[in-house]
Amino acid sequence: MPTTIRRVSAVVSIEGRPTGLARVLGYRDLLVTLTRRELRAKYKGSLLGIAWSYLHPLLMMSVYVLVFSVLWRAVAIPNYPVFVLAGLAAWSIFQAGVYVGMISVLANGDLVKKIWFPRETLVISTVLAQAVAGIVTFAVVAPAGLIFANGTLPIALLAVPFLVVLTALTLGLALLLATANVFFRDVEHFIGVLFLPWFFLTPIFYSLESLPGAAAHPLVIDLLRYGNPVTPYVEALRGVLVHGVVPGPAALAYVFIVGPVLLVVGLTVLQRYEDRFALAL
Amino acid sequence: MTVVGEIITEGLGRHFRLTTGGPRSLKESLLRRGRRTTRDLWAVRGVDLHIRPGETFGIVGHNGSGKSTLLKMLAGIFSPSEGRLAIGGRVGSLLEVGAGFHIEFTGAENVYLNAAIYGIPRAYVDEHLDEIIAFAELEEFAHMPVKTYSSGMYTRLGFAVSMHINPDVLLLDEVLAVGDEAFQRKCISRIFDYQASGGTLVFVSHDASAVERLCDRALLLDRGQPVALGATTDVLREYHRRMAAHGSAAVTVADVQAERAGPVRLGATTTAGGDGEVRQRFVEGESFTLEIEVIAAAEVRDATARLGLRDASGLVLARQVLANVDLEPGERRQFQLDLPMLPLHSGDFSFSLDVTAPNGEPLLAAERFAPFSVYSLDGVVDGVLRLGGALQAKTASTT
Repeated sequence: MPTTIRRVSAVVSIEGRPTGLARVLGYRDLLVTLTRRELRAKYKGSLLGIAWSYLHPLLMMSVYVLVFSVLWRAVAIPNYPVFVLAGLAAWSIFQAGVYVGMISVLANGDLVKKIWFPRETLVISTVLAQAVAGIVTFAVVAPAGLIFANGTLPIALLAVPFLVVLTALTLGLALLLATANVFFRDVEHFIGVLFLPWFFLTPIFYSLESLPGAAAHPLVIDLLRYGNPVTPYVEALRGVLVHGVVPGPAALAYVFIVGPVLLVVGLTVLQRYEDRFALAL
Repeated sequence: MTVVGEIITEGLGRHFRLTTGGPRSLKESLLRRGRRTTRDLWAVRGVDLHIRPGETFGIVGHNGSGKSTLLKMLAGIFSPSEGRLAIGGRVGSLLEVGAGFHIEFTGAENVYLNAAIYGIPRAYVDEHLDEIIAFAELEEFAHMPVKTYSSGMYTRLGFAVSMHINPDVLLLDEVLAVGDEAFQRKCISRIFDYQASGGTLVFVSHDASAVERLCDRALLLDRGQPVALGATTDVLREYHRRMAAHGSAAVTVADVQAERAGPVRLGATTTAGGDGEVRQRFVEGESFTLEIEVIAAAEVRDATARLGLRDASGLVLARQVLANVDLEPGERRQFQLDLPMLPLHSGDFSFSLDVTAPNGEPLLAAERFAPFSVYSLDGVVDGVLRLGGALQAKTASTT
């Protein structure tokens, strides 16, 4: 007996289930518990624990200072160690957050297949745990900027809202990629490969202005600044912490709009496709 | 709109697209677009349910009948492909015990984690942590990582947490078979408490006895189709009837008989129900017919045939004797045993047949042929014989 099967593409939602940000807030306890789980799991069984949040950027900074400033003398940026450290700290919140967030749904596949709970909490908690570890680094960068560089106190406080929107940007991208990664496992490999060139195209151990070729290629500079969503956040954080300079209105608008918008988009996309997670995992 | 604890489904269905391999990589799905062999399969279709608040509802069916898929839809893990689903209130699902434990964490930490996943407020866990740990009988191990737990301890902890979710609607999937008997009894009594407190329970199992004990009403699924819906006893009777009819065939004698060479051989044997249908699965108390064919190699005069009914261990439960059997050389003779009411309750059974000459010489000794299974109607699985009586409480008397 041939049966015709109606292809139903529209997702029939379960009535009464909240969506959007309201759902996330309704599961605050879960978010807190999962974030604590991530933080504890991150350092459980490690001897140095939270100190790794300092050791890694400090080691990287030392290498960049040695190569680019001391030996190569390629950069003439004042307070170069603090400059690099601020950039590295911002980048690591973004990069580590996007990576762990991206793989979080897949890594918790067993859970997703067995229990319903807001799937975004997996992504959000892992990103938040990374952000906490990154913000611990900023607890060193901020005083260093005040003492060794040109950071001044009221301006340095702007770093707090900047970190919040940087986390929002990270979350948004992580939510999008986590959703894609459930259906296409290539995503995490692709992004993993992409991170290194992305890092070099982000002004972390250099500044866009200090590049010798900057004046000759203004278009490339604009593309690097606004085409790469991380750049404005790195520059804004470094501006207030190291240079004691508040970013211009365009940069301010960029950092406060792009991150939150991406967060809402990421959340919407994940909630739109989460019904298919259990099957694809 | 639904009220709290109510479940309404209308024409609920879920289909899966079966592909060879599965679209795991981007490259594959780009390159092999349109060239994949896909097959659509409705795991569940056309389910109309109205489960009232406080009701305990069972879903039964064979493996692959779609009962777990239906439960996963109710739990929100799968979205329906068609139809409507509405559930009032908070839904707790226990589809696997201990899902979401982190092995590096202690038992107590995992209670918080698991509870949070089920949406239980942290404050509630603060208050009930000792109670949950005590329920799991893990007082001494609460602060040890669960990776050091035995599998029994692990499942007890998982169940203890789940039993404290106290949602408006609780979905359980085959999870009652955890731990030892004492712990299972504790779980069942906890479920009774939940029922008594007015919670709605949906329970999936292929263990009819558990469904019988717990559920008011039940749904029987067969290959994704709802085939019976109503009072648990009626649905279970239909379930057993279908189970009995499932995979029936004439028994091949060679498989089961341990026949010694002799002048009489055993031919084909069949077991059939009152409807005349040849099958090997029966429901207690239904009418039953055994047909045996006996082939004589030589002439047999005045022989005695003893038919034995044996249980799974080989113990003879009953004997039926037929005297004065005469057979001509080369004759095939049919024998028939008719039981208007199968006096068996539940278990696996078989027959044995001895034919002896008047001088005591064995002519045929066939054992363990015509095997069949009997399923109980009351869901109790122990007890092979059907007593058929009624156990009643007499009026209380004070002395």
